[in-house]
Amino acid sequence: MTLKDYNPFTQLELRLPDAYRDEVTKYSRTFADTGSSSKAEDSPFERYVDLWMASICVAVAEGREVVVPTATKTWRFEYGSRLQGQTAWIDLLQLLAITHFQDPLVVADARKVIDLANVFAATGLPVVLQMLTDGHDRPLWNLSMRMMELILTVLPDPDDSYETEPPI
Amino acid sequence: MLEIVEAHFQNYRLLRDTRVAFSTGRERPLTVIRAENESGKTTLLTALQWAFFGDDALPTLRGGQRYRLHPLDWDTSRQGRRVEIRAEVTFRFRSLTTTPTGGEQELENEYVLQRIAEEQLGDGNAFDRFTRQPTLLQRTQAGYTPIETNPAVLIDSMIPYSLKDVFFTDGDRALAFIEASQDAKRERVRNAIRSLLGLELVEAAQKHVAKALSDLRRANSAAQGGNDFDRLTSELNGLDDEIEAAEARKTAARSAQARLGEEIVVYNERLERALVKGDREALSQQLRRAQDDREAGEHAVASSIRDYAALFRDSALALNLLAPVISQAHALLQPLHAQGRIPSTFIPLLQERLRSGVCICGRSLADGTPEHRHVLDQLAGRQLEDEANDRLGQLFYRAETFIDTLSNPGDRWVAQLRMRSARVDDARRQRKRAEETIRETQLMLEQVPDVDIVELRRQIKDATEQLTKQAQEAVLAEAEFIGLAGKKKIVEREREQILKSQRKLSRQRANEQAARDLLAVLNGTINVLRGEKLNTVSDEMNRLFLDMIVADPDQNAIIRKAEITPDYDIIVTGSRDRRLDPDVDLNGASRRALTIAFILALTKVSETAAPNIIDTPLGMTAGQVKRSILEAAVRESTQLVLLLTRDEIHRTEDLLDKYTGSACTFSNTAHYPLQLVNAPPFDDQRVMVCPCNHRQYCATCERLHDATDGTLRQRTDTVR
Amino acid sequence: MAVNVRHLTHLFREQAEVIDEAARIPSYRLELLRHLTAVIEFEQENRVRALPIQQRVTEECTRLGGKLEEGNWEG
Repeated sequence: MTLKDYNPFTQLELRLPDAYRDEVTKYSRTFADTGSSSKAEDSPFERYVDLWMASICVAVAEGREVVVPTATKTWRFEYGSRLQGQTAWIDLLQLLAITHFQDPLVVADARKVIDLANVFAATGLPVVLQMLTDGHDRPLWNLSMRMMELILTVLPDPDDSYETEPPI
Repeated sequence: MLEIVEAHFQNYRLLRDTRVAFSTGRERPLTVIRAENESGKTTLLTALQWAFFGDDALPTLRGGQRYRLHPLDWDTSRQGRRVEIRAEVTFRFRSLTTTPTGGEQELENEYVLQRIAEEQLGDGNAFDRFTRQPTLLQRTQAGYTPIETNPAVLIDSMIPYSLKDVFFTDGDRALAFIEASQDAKRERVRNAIRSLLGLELVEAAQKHVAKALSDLRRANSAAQGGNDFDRLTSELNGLDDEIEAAEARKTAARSAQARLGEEIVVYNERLERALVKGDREALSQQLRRAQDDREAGEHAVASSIRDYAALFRDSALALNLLAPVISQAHALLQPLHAQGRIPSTFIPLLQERLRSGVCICGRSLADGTPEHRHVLDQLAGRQLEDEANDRLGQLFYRAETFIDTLSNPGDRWVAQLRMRSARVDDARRQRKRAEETIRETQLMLEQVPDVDIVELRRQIKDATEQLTKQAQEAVLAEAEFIGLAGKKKIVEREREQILKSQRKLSRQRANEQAARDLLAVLNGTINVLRGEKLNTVSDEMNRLFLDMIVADPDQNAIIRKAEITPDYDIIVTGSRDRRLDPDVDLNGASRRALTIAFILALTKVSETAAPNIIDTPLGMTAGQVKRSILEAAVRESTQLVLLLTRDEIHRTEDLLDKYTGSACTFSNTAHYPLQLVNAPPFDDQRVMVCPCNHRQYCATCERLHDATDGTLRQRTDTVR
Repeated sequence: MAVNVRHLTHLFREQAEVIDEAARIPSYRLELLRHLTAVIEFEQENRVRALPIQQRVTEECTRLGGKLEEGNWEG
């Protein structure tokens, strides 16, 4: 099996909190015309899984405490088969699990990795949603500004002369 | 030279019983008749015209109404329905006759011209008029005796009817020489010039003499009776017709050339003005290009934003955000790798030993042996673990790759974000530039006159082609003319030979020769009149005009020259030979000055000495221009009569003191009490005449404010 | 002389210079000017009252022609 065929999460469920379902739909272009640029400015994420992955990463980057009350209702928006071909993401999810559980062998337990991912997604989603509306511009540009700020805290620019203002 | 001595009018409109004496003699040639508006100025002008020229000279009214001669307030109950209108003008006519020896002799005669009309008044405004034949009396030693010659003929020889507007000038209407429609102006100027220069007479004479020559030739031919002679005579007459036709074609072509030339100038000026504002077609193309650019800009913006948004599903985003996790995971995997546990080599080794059938310790691993079964059990037990170790091995190397990638700033997500946002900015700027260009171009288009430049250019091209054709036509006609003239000489010579050979026809030959000689002189004279004389009138008009307006710095700055074209247009040109429009570029004073300059130039060049009687010549003029016009008119006229209002007189009093030989004032009884101070001694509407000049007022003519006008003094010696 | 004819006679005189009297008869130019003036006067009169103008003009031509013949003009 080649690396690009590798996907241990195929049958597993990708989930997001049900309370944010409308917003997830609003900011994703899954059922919208993906060709329109004005849609992109209002709905920066092409697919739900893109928003799901971004939520995971933002939660990790912010060092958020991963605590999701069990009563939180979630909704399966996709199966892990959606991750087919997303080699880097699969690698990163497993690396995340290794770091979180401090156990390399956790990679053998795909369900555990995805459960962890879902929990991180649930933690990070409200943050991402906040980033989309935080600012006076359209969601894409608000998100860009906040995301860049966050990344620069994680990975500061080696050259201080870089502008930190958002591009637009 | 004609000089009016005195005029007396009775019952001619407001002129119930009006007598005016005019100044004669060169020292003080000016007669000033001071009259305010509606005080009989124009009435006097028309009365004089009627006296000299009869009913034909009366103004034509709108709707075909006839011009009334009788006073408007004629009381039929007291005075009856029959009104006798009388005009009597005493004038002197001095002529220089040419003696047969070429010398000149001066003759002076004094005449009295009487013209009487009767108007029978009907109901309302209706009336019938009967105008008697005028009577012309010549002063002799025995007193005034009627002349035998038809007065109209004699009068016309002294002061032709066609020139009545030149000699009797209504200042306001005289502008018809330079205002009004192009054709009307041209016609008036043409008629005035042609009449005054005598061109009409000479052309008529030419026509009749040419006909006489043709008739004489035919008569000779009939007398001669010979075939050859007949043929040559007929050929000669035919050639004359063809020559006339060729000349006419040449003249027409030249005229068309002049007209087309003017048209091209006008079109080019229009084109130049339109192009300064902008070429509509070019601007429209620019607009379309800008709209295309905007559309391309829109696409570029859309595309660049989509690329930008794609960064949020790019694995680089996750990579950058999870950088610490990657390092930590790598650190956890590192010892396993160092120990050789990842990636796993145990399973491959066992599999390789099984295949070889020999263990690394040297024992046989052949199929069926306990050692073979042991190795298989080991393989089965550790499969899962080794799969996991394999994966961990991959993850270890992947983590190293990620760390490597993240160490390159250019590969980081933020760098990509900046790059793609710059592309969005560029695309937006491109779109904005296109939008600005659209706005600017639309504004420019709005300001461009709705002139179809393509159409104008086509018109210019057409006119230029026509011009070329007409030039060719003129050349062809000229060539034909020359050819025909040459042929005519040959035919004439041949015919002459035949005539010469027959003595009995010497009289006929002599008649023909006489007619030819007369024609030659007439033709030469016509060429001079049409050419040199017209240019002389034009130059003289220009000189007088520039003299008059030199005192107006604004007009003087823009006006370079006034001239009369061969097509009888009076044109004024400014700097760089740009033609000025009298209606727009000349002020009222200059337009009046131009008209008066034209009239004076014409009378001077034609050596016609006749009175210039001008009603309100200085209206709309002021200051120095007014004075210049006045001085020029006095200088160039043999007898000048000016009908002036107080406003026109203002600031020219010293000039009037210098040049006035006779003066009086007209006052209208109807102006009491609003304008006249004293009640008139008449109960009807009429003009009252008093001898007050421009510096005086009396009980008859005193108007409001006269008493306080520092330039006037009161006369107490006048009789009312 | 009519008001605008005087300057015409000057012009006629100038134009008559082109006629070579030697090829005509003595004092021919003066005769020509006289008859031409008569023609112009007829034309003037014709403007005011109708004349048989063509006949008059032709007569002037023949009168001038008569002078040529009387002067033994050879042609």
